[in-house]
Amino acid sequence: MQELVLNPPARLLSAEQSREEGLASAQREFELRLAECGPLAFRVARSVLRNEADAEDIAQEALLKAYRKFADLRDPSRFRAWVVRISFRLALDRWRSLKRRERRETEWASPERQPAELNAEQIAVSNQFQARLEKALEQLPDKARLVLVLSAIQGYTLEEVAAMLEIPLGTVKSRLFFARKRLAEKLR
Amino acid sequence: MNCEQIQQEIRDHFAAGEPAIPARLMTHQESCSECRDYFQSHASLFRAIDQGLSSIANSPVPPSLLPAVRARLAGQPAGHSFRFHGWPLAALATAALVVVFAFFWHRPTQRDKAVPDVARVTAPRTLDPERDTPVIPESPRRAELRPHPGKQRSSSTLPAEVTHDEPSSEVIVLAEEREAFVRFVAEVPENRAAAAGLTRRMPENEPIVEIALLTIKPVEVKLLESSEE
Repeated sequence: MQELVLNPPARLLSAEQSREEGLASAQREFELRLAECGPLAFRVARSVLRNEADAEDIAQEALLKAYRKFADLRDPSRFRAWVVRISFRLALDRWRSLKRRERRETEWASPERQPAELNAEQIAVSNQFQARLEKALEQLPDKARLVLVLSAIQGYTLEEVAAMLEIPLGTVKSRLFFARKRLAEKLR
Repeated sequence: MNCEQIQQEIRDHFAAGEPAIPARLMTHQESCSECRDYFQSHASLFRAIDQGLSSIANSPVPPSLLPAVRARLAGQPAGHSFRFHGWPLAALATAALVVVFAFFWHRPTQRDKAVPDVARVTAPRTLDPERDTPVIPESPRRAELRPHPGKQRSSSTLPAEVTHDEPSSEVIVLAEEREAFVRFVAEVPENRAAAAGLTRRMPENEPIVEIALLTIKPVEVKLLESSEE
């Protein structure tokens, strides 16, 4: 007696397998980048929003947005720049929305907006100066502000910032120069 | 080089964040206390800016960030979350719906099957002798639809003739007008005058329109003479 075995068509099976493999590969690749880009997205958002809860929310949104379009990204090495830009843009939108509602000042007064742990040196420059610094930072043009924040994040050189923003190193330097000079004028 | 230019250079030097101090600035400071103070104040200002920026840019990342992102990503495949892969299936389903709809829309009813294009509607058999108007049956459903034996199609509607002797009178109704005629008959009890008009006799003095018959003679075919001859 012959045994009948139902086999799916080989072409369909291979297409489905390759699709699943592609998805799994994309997920692995994204997971590798998440460890690096997650904190970066948070810090960029935090520098704009000055609120950890909002910054975490924005970082999550940015990472989810990047994940949804991860398969469309032709050059995976540009993922970091992509996440930074998404996070910065989302944070700016959130910040403007908050400002429009005129809640910013009251929320800023709440203790949760202060940096979590301050060392003695930070305490020395904090409080009044820190508030003035952040106020001056807000008034910078967006491009200069982003360069300033990214260059202040530990572990990133100016070359890496240039690569991250996909702009020439000279542009990074000129924006940084302009931003620091403007900050000094406001804080002097 | 005057002090104003030196102070401008000091500002640019710190703004550029260059670690090496130009030699001319150092030499000028040794002889100028005002520029030395300016240099020192700017050094402390930029140090404070750098520290403040560092505290802003390197704020500690909440430990809940990555687990929360992973949890939100759990149900979403990378790059395919908002793509719909069922288009072929949806197209098939739509096509099937269209076919079913078309079938029911054009399906012939039992009555349509029984009656060909042109049908004769039998008029009421009896007349009210006193009023010379037809006695209309109670129910319009009694109007009988029968296929016309001879003609397949007619372009004219003849008035029904109702006599006492004839077994029945007939009205030839186009297939597309049949439904409307049935509705008309159904309303006849309320519109007896209209029914009478429908079933009246043709007056004898009314001119009869005659349609000349068209005769087609066989065509004589001749071969064309060629132009060379």
